[in-house]
Amino acid sequence: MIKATKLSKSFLNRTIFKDLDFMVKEGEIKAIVGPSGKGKTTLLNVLSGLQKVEKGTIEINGKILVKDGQYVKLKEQREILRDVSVVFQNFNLFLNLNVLKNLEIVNKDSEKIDRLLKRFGLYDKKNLGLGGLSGGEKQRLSIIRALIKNPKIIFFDEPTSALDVLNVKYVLNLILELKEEGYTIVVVTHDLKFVELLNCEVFSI
Amino acid sequence: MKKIFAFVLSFLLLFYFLIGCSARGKDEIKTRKNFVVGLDVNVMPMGFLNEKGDLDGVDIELARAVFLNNPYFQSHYIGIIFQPINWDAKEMELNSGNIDCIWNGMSYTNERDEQMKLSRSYIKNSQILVVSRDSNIKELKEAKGKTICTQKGSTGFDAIKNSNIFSEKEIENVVQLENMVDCLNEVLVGHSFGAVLDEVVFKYFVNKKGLEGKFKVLKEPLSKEDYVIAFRKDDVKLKEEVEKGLLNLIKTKKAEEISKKWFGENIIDLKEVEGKQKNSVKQNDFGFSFELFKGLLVSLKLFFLCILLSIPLGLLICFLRVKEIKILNILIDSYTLLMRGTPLLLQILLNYAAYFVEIFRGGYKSIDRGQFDAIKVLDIPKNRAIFRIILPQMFNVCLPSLCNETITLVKDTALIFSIGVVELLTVSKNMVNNMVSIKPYLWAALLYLLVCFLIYCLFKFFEKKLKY
Ligand SMILES: Nc1ncnc2c1ncn2[C@@H]1O[C@H](COP(=O)(O)OP(=O)(O)OP(=O)(O)O)[C@@H](O)[C@H]1O
Ligand SMILES: [Mg+2]
Repeated sequence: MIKATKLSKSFLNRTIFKDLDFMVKEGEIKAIVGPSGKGKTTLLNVLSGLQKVEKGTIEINGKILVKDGQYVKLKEQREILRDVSVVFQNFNLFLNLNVLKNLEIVNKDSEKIDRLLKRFGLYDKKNLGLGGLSGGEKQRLSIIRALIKNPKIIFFDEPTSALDVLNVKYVLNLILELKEEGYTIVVVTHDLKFVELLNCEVFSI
Repeated sequence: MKKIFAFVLSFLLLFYFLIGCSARGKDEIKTRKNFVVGLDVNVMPMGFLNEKGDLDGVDIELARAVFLNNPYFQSHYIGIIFQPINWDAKEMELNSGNIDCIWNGMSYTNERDEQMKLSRSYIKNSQILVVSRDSNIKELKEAKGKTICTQKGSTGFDAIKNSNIFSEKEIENVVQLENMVDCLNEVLVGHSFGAVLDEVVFKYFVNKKGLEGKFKVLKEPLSKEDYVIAFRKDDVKLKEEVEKGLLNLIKTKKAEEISKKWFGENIIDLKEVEGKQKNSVKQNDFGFSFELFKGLLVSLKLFFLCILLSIPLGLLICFLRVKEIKILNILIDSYTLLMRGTPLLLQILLNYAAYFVEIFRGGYKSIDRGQFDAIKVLDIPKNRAIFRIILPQMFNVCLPSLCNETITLVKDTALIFSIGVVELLTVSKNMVNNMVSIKPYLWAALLYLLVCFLIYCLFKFFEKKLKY
């Protein structure tokens, strides 16, 4: 569950958003849509703790991350954000590590790694470097990497932008599956058809 | 907490810097003592006790003048003193540190060259044939069959024996007299056709007694010798400074002045010892010697010292630098700026650290921001992130420039010779001096090249390893 109220964020003197309220219920999917440059990624960054807001309150799974612009202690922040994972717009896979090591560096649970690699069809590529992966495979690897952290909430930033129709369908099914498994999911996208298929609440920025 | 850490580190940095600046100074003060010249006080006219009982002589004046003329001595020694020594134990006196050099009209021999570090020849002495002014002898061999006199037990007698001019019978008949005055008298009154004498002593004598023009000296000597100054085997620096001082005296005509005073003409000049290349450093025709490896070892030690300290220091400062803490940045910036501009030999280590900071910083900046985002979101422990992600990616970018800088460092270790460390270049320089051949330089160049090539291969290996 995420509950954010009256968020304000600006870069230097440029306001990206002001008094923004955002909310996702536990086990639900929420889609964020809006034109490019409006601040979708910025909102995700703020909700995942990568960037700080100037004003507002963020509550994650009932725990306060920031209240009226006052962030809690670093240690608590880390504790709270442990529940959150992100599939980045451009993956941000660790470039110098191979498939397996990209996962092991997050979590050494090899049983889970193997299970996910098999589920996502990457098991026989686990010893390849990133150069040996296609765009879709990189997308899947970054999803596995997000899952391996054992989060409760997953953010997808433009998960379909680099994919062909087949892969889009794959990701769509995956997100729906994850919802069934109880994950809380936020999807940023500009693909309105995809939003329709997700069949969820939509937040327009 | 972090700020305190940063603060402590910046102080540490300042400390390093100050040490770098003052290390040389301290060393000098510690070792400052008298410059002690060892001599036998019975060698006329090089070093002897004069009528008043004072030390006097050509070498005494030369040594004093060198001491006063080369600033090196003023900065490294309190003063100059002359120490009479037991001539038979001269090497021991030298090696035990009782004296710093032997400067006493000492002639060059291969044996001495093995045991001590010898300067170049500053006076070329010879055993000469002195005849009456009226004699019309032109060549040495015309003296065959004539009555010859010399000083008893002198080098002159050895020269007669070894000259291959006189027969055994004639050598037996050589008149051996007590001193030079007697010899010259014999020639003047015509009892002897000529006298074989020590040129330096003869010139001094003629000059002192005003005997110019009374005798004729044959141009062709019976034997030649070189006067050299001896130092401890490893005291190359001192030898070079003394030679530098001598050269300076020669250039400024001060040497000529001294020489004229004693000999009436200028016979002081810094020259290679004749015939030395044959037997000096143990060598072969290739101009190669294992001394070069000793030098290489020192060079490598210097290199590793520099590299092992400057790379981590550079890396550390780089990480502090990218933290964007204001005071620290100003400090580090001025450090990098200062160090990049200071003389290399003084702070070679810190200097390289400064270069490495810039290289590493370039590497750090080249890492995609997204990598840091992923590290944060995925909650990867800091150490693991640095060693498994950040550093490998940094090195992947900086290795080529790091390799360049490292190779430059190998070459720059040669600059350390200027503070008296005997590394590869110094060794080869000495060998070149000794052998009168530039082959040792070629070997040194080859060794440098080899080391650089190995470093290059090593970096290529790492580059391949880190490539992704
Ligand atoms: N670190 C930053 N410093 C300054 N400006 C920034 C920074 N990050 C983002 N911005 C600006 O904030 C605005 C919102 O950026 P954001 O990446 O959130 O857009 P977006 O909605 O995700 O766009 P897209 O659909 O293209 O991904 C943009 O105009 C961008 O230029
Ligand atoms: Mg975006």
